Amino acid sequence: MTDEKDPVLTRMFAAEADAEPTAAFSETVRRRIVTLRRRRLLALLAATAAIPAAAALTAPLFATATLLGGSEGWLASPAAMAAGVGLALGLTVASRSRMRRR
Amino acid sequence: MRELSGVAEASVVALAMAGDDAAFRELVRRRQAWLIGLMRRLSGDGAMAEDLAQQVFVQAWRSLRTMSSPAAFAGWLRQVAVNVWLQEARRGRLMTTPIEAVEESALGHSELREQLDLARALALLPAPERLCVVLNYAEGLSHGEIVAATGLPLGTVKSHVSRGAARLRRLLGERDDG
Repeated sequence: MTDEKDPVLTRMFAAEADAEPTAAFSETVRRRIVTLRRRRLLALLAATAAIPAAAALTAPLFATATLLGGSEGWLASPAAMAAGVGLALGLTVASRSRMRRR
Repeated sequence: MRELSGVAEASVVALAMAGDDAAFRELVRRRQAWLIGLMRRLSGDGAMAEDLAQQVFVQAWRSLRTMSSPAAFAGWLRQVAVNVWLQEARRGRLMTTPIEAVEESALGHSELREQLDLARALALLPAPERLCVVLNYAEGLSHGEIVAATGLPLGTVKSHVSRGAARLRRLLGERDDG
């Protein structure tokens, strides 16, 4: 089978005019893009804010681990370190992937 | 504001790719009638066509920087449009009338048949047939290009185009023959 076309339909399609957009069309496109930009910016801010938030949460975690783990100090607790770093990374990655989805 | 209306499209696209908002607005202005027309043929509904066309432009704005070359803009935008339409179809947001029911009633009443114009007849085709017929007849894509645009197998594209065209002719009553 070749790409042969029905000549009557070809004529009819060729005769069809393009659609007239409504007056608000391009303005609506502009507004949608502005909304998208705003969401991206908010997501970026959230991703940036996630790092100090994670750091702030990490300190109590270290303290708790120290209390539970003994008197060696928080640096002696690899589990607390790993939990803190993991939390910071997790929050950052989650915020960034949410930003990408938007 | 800069005057971009007389500037070659590839230059406007290059500016838009660099993040120029005025250039992107100019592209919307230039392409909106064509794009709404394409989406109207594909969706069979004027209001939905505008909404889909807006989605296409927003999607285009998001991914404009991924385009290989400014000269490829027209084909690239059409591909974005097809992808947006396919997404809507997968989500079941495109309403279609069962073709068997329509054909029975349309072919049984000559008045109704005569009232069907091309746009209405297109809207009565099943969505995949409509897509292939529109890309082939309205957009001038070859069967191979439709395969590339839609991801459908070649045999399916050929059969959709030929069956869809035959149905269109029947729905239009073959009144324009000759």
